[in-house]
Amino acid sequence: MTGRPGPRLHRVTVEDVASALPEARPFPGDGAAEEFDLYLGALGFEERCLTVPRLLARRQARVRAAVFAEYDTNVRENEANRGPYEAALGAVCARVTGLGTGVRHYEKQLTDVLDAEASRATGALRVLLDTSVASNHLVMSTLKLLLDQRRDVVLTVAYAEADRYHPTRQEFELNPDRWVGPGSRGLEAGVGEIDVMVQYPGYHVDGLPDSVVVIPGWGRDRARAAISWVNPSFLASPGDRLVWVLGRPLHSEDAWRHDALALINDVGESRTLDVDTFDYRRTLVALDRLFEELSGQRQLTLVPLGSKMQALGCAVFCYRRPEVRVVFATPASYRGSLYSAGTRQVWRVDLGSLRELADRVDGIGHLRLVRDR
Amino acid sequence: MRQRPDGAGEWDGRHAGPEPGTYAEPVSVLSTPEVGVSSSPDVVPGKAADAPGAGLALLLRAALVPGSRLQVEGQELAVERFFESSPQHLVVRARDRLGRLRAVHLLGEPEPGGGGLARLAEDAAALEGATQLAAFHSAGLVPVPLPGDGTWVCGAVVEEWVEGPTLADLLSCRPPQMTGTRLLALMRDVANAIGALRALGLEHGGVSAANLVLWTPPRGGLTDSGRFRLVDCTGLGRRRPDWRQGLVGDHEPVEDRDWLGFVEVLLQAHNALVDTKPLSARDLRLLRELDVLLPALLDDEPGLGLADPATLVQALESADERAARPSDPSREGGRPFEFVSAEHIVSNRTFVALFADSCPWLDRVDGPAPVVLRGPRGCGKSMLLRWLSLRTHLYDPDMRPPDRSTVGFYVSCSSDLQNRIGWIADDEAPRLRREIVHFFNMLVAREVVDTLRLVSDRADAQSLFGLGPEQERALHEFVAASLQVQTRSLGSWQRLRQCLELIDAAMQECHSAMRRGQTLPWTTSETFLADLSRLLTGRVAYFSTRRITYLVDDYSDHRLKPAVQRVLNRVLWERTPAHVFKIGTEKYGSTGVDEANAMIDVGRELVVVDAGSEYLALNESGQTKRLRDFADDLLARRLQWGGYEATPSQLLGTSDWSPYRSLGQALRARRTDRPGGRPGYYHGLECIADLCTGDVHSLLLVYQRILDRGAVALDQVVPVDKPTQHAAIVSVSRELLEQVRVTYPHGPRLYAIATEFGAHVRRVLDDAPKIKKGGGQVPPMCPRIEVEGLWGGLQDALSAEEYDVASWLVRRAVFVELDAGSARHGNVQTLRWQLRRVYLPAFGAALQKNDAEKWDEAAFRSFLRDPHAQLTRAWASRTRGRRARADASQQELFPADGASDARPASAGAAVADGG
Repeated sequence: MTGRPGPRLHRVTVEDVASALPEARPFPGDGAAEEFDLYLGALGFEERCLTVPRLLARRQARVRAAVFAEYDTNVRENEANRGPYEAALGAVCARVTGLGTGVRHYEKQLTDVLDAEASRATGALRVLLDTSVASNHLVMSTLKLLLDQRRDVVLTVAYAEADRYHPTRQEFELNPDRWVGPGSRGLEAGVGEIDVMVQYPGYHVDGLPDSVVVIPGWGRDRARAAISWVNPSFLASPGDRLVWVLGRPLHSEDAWRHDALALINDVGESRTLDVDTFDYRRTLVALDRLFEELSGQRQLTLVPLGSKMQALGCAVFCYRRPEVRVVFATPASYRGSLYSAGTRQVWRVDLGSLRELADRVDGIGHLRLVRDR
Repeated sequence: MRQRPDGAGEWDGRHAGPEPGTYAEPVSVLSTPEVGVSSSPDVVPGKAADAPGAGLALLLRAALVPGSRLQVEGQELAVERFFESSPQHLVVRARDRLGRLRAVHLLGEPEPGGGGLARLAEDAAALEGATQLAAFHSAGLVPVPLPGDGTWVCGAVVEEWVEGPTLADLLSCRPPQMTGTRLLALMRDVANAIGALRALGLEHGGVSAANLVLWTPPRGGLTDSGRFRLVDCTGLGRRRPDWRQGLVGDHEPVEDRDWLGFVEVLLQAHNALVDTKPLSARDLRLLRELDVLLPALLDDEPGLGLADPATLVQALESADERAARPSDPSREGGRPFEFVSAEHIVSNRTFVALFADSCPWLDRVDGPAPVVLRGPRGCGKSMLLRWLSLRTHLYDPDMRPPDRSTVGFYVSCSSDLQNRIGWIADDEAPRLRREIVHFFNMLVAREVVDTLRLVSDRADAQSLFGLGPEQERALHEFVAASLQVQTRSLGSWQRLRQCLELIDAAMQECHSAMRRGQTLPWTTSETFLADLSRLLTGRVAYFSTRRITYLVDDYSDHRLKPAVQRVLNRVLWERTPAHVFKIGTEKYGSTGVDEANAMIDVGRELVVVDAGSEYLALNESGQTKRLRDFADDLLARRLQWGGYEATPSQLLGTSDWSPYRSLGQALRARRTDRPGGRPGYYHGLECIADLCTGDVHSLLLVYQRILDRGAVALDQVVPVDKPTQHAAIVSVSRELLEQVRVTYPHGPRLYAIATEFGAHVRRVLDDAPKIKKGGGQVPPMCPRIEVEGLWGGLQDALSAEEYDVASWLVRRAVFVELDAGSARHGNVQTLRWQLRRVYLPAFGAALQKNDAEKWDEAAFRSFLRDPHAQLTRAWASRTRGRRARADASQQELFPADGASDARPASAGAAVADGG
């Protein structure tokens, strides 16, 4: 035996990394004026679309340029918010620009915007990403671009939590058929498009069996369409090839939504994981553990239809694990008036330097020599 | 230590050589003073104190220019180049009189280590033959004239010059040039080097990334084994007791410098591989193995640690073997009904055991001709194509693959091809055509090389396949030449795996370029696969008598857009004596033109096999026995694999309906007969065989459900009761029908068409007048639509929107279209669509067809736009006919039918009723 303990190896785990990542904290309505080089957001139909721009105005923040995505679904309802949205942004920013519709050119457009703003910035580009009404697709595309390009960006993610999400418990319990079962109408109508997210093609070259990890939302058909797109037999005979990641809401009064999600999506006997809807770090941890378990044996497809913060966790996870393919299903349209009402709390996650974040996350799985003293 | 080649500003001051020493009198250190340097007249020892201690190497570099001569132990060496090292250590690449390269280490400390140059030389000489280390040549003092008037006396160690990049070079690249094979080679080679040192009681003292050189042997040399070699023996010395050995005498144990250096090097290499994005499945598995193995390098628990190099190398080989393929869970054997599609089955052993080679169209697909195999997902295309691949049959090293005239390589478009080039829009495809072809070439080549890698692991690789080192080298060189890359090879060691890594890198590079909208300076051409095939048939004996067949599955436009297909068609349509393609696709899913708008006559130039219409055609031509044998075979293989005692006929029995077509009679009579208890109409092997329209996957789901609901035990040999079979079949039918709703695209619309038509079929069965068949009156069973006069086919006859819906109805197998060949009579082309039969139980309809909805083009188009309206008209037409006949004969055929006209044609109600 040894006279004294020798050096040993430590494997950096996702938990090690996640615990060092910043958590969401309240974004107060007052306080010192902040400066951002770039605001990135989206024009949507929910009330909370306006929340962060108004908060910035109230805090007398200064933003050098504001750029927002415009969706090609629910255009008329989105347009109802355009005036106040642009006005609120205009109060803190002289240059406010819409990026036009569609996701195909978003990446190119955003790259151009970042190039232009980076050339104006003296140091790191300070970016505020307002995810309040951004689609998960948008959140993940933006993060992917920023992390992959290893730009000198300091990123703050803002999120306005709705005061009331539909369906409320009463709405759900009074009329469950509306939400549960084939053809239920829910919050959205139909399936618009399904495709592999071009930024996250995965690496499925080895011909392994598929496994699908679904973070479902309130649209039954969308999740099922995405699963069917990967392999139709997974619906009838999922076996261990389908994993549902069910959201646990932030507030205890919303806890019923977890079970409702399982019911709506008819998860049956399939494997489920419960993951916080709010703490993006838990999404990262849950997905990475799953990856550790299945990678090399299965080729993984992630279908991220859950919360915005879960999408943020997915983006960080998928940056680290590019072997995972992301498939998105968009609805043909949203039932806008039913979606959410008001704002309960505004949150911010100060991710800081994205280069440092990328380095930290890249460290998952590294081995380090530890010398006990 | 060797760093980057010399150049301005490349000195980073890092120190990893011997400790800085003091200058000494220039004395000979070897036992043969006549070859020492003590005779040098220019030595000025007094100058030593003036030399900058931290910058000796810099000073020496200034003094020595290329072409300078160094005398070491009487040997003259011509200086060629300097390499960065520590401030007290300069590495000079030099040549001896015979032109051989040597590494000369010039040291600030003339007497390095504990014993000085003499001891070092003695120890290093003992290592002769240890090829893991650079070969030692000589050591001595050497005078170096300094700028000005002095001469510096240095310690000099001369060893073999090992050509190649250092590990530090590889790791400092962006991204780091680390691969699975390099990491494994590194572990193996350094472990062996340390093993050789330990055997002599020595330690190297400088194990670091800078001292490990990836050496590629010169061509034509005695060895073909590239490897990592440990260079710079200037730190060589006696091995000291390490912490594992506890206190030795009065000495405090010290860390094993070599072993710790080794571990640190491995961590750097391991972490670089972890950082590689993306990683192949094999590398992911390898890293998982190393996560267990590497910590054991420092584990001093007896029996757990891996501090012995030889044990480590053994453990490494085992780990690599485990990582070579995904685990083959034995539990697969217990759940044979989990596998309802080819993609579900990891193990080729399981796959072969479950594959029903009684598939009626197998013979038409096999053989040397180019084939288009059509059918929707679930029809067994993938099973069949995968079965034709060589890889599938390599699972048992003692079993020869089936002896066929072709040798297949399977590539599915549903995975990486779709993921990485499926996004390319129609307007971008022409610009990226070279990259698209290149990516496809690489994907196919990867499968070829990976399959050959499996072959090379077999004992009969040379005797049966004719695959040996020479063939592997030829293939590696062909790929490298095709990619125009010069890579540091590890020689014959795992050569095909190295080749795979080359291909992977090329695919990544290609994908990145396409995503950035850039083109590559060099790509493989449209003839690459033909050239590869010729190489294989020319060099590898097994291929010389077989046609190479590339099996491209899921080649449909929801995977690859039409413009991408147009680019690839030029490759896929090529055929040479050495190779052909067999393509799995959905009907209406692939384009028949190439980029130059050249059109292929698919029916004439390729063998077309449509699983759905093949099945129906056999059914209608009286060859039902073949179909039942196939259905029986499918189940029998799974039962056997799962350890069930029963045969299919024991578990399912035979249908009560003898002949079974009277199922329609029974269903029609259900309202008047009102049998008590649970319904049991759908049951028996014949009935189940009739559920299939080529969609093998549906049959497997039915079997799975019957066994589940019947709670069939392994030893059960009595049939599952009929009501249970019926309920299982109806539930599968409803689920599959429900899945149409979430089909993409047009799910709700396809679903509406299916449910309206299914309800109509049921209503016709229940309420329409019987028809004359075979001399008797039978209930009409009309799950088919026949449209005459569709000149030019669907695309010409329908609007774009109608065509889109119609094509997806066929692609998603809501309807199965009988092939055009069997639908021609006279000059009129008849479109014949049959509702997928597995949906019929959801409506309580019969499974056979003895009648059809015969429409004109306008009615068919109406059906696509508004199925309810068209089927209401169709029903009205049938009832008008019935009334007319009834009037004529004054005979009421079906008294109970009177109320049915008033019954709403509610598709939902029919589905819910379900029989």
